[in-house]
Amino acid sequence: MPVAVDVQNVSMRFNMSQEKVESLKEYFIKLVRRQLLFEEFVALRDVTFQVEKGDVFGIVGLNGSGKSTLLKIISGILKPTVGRASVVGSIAPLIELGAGFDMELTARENIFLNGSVLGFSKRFLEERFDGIIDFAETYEFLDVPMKNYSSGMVARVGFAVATMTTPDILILDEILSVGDFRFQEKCERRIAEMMSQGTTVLIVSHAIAQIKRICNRALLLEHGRMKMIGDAAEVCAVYSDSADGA
Amino acid sequence: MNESPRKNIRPILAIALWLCGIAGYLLFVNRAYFWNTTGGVGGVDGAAASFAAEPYPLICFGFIWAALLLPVLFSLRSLRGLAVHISNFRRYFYLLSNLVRRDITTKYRRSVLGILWSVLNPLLMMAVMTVVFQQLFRIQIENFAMYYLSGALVFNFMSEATSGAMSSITGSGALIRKVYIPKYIFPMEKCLFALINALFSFIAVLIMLVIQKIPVTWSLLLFFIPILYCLVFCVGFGLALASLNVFFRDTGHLYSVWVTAWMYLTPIIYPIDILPPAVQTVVQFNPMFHYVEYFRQVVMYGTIPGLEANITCLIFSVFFLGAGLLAFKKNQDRFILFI
Repeated sequence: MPVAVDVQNVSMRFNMSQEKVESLKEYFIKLVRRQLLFEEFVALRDVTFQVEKGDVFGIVGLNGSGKSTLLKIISGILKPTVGRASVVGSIAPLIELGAGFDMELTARENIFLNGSVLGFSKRFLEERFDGIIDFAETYEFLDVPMKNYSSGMVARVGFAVATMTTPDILILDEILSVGDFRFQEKCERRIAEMMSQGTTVLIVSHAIAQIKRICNRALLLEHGRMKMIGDAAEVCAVYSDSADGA
Repeated sequence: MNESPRKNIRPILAIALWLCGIAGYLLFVNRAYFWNTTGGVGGVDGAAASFAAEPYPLICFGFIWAALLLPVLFSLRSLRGLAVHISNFRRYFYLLSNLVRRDITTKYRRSVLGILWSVLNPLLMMAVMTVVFQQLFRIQIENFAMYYLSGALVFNFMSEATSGAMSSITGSGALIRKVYIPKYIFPMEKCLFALINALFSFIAVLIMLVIQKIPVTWSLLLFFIPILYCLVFCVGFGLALASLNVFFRDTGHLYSVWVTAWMYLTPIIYPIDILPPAVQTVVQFNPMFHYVEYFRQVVMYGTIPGLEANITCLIFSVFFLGAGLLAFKKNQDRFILFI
């Protein structure tokens, strides 16, 4: 099978003390005290794996184990300190639903704005507009500023815009925990539909049952290191055990 | 990356066009020496001024500018580092226009007059400044109202564009942390937003031209050239400010003071000759002085600035654009750690 996501020796270091410097004065004080460039925090350490096309790949681990950092590196939002992450094909990162919505604007304006953030053209968005509205079910609130929307409605519109195409790679970061039961089901149906069309999916979730149910492979991260990679059921079993033990 | 033969020709083509443009320009500016054998008209600026009232040199000018500006874009494209940016830029152009539209709608939301404020605001400011400086401080300038208005248009465009660009990266943190977008989009968007505002303010200038019965010549059509120079300058300076502001939030506080000082260093409310000669030399290094001067020349005085003025403006613009792009490109991967 061809490779869809290729992560090679990726390490990510954050510089703790430098991050706190927010003013020139502080910078010079720290420079004099030689506190700069110290206190590194390693979020990911030498992570290497490949995801084949059509896989549904789960990433599990405790809070702070580097799952979201890894997804951000794969989506191109973060550049790794060391190593390289490459993807083949179009990518739809659902790191957060409705990122880039301007709450002062109406849903109609936001659909076009967010669509263009994701790199779609105007004509394409106009063609898909009705489909997006159908999925989000916000017919009567189209021209209401989104600040008046409930968080569930915002999530619906966000999901509808992000998944209007069938991308080659879909990245999901805990987003299925928003919205009501019916909407979650609808999202899962849409994801299943994309998977059947050959989309590669990367999922970060704390819902072990969900990972077990929909993933075929999984990766367990612990303090930024790869603990285990392989069959989803086995990895989930190890993760549950280690979580119980801790 | 695939290197097709067509792509390899591009830089050569671009340089050739560049040279053609410059040669054409030199020929045009010095045409008195080449075409006018009687040699009545002497200096370069004198020649330009005498031709200003006629339409055909303008057509000539248009061609030369097209030849000058298009290859700049092409030759940038052939630079390897920028190639990706340019092709991405095409893809993200729709996003750019959407962001500008968003800024305009949110800025004027719930105001009765809406975008008309971009016309009214400079006019009202001009009324205040004219009363204060002409009646109170008795500054002797012909058409003070127009003098102030034209200077303020260019300067406010710059200050709005660069201040907007400066805080654009930190202000779009929510978006940058969640989605991949080329980051230069944000400072650039603020500059374009300021440009739209400046173009609306230009209506105010046109209104004043009619009210003050200032003779209008064909050179008015060249008003976009100083604005364009200034835009390039603003994008470059804005990119540099934006990257600095990510690492040191103090930049924003300091910059507002600097803009005020800068305004007084630019002859907007006073004529350049009231400055002592030493300060006048310093002002020569202020790019805004040249853009403002150029703008006044074509809009108020009906003259077309010569080669020297154009090259000065161009050098400032290109220098700041290059420096800004470099500073931004070098730091942009670390932005996300600081916002």
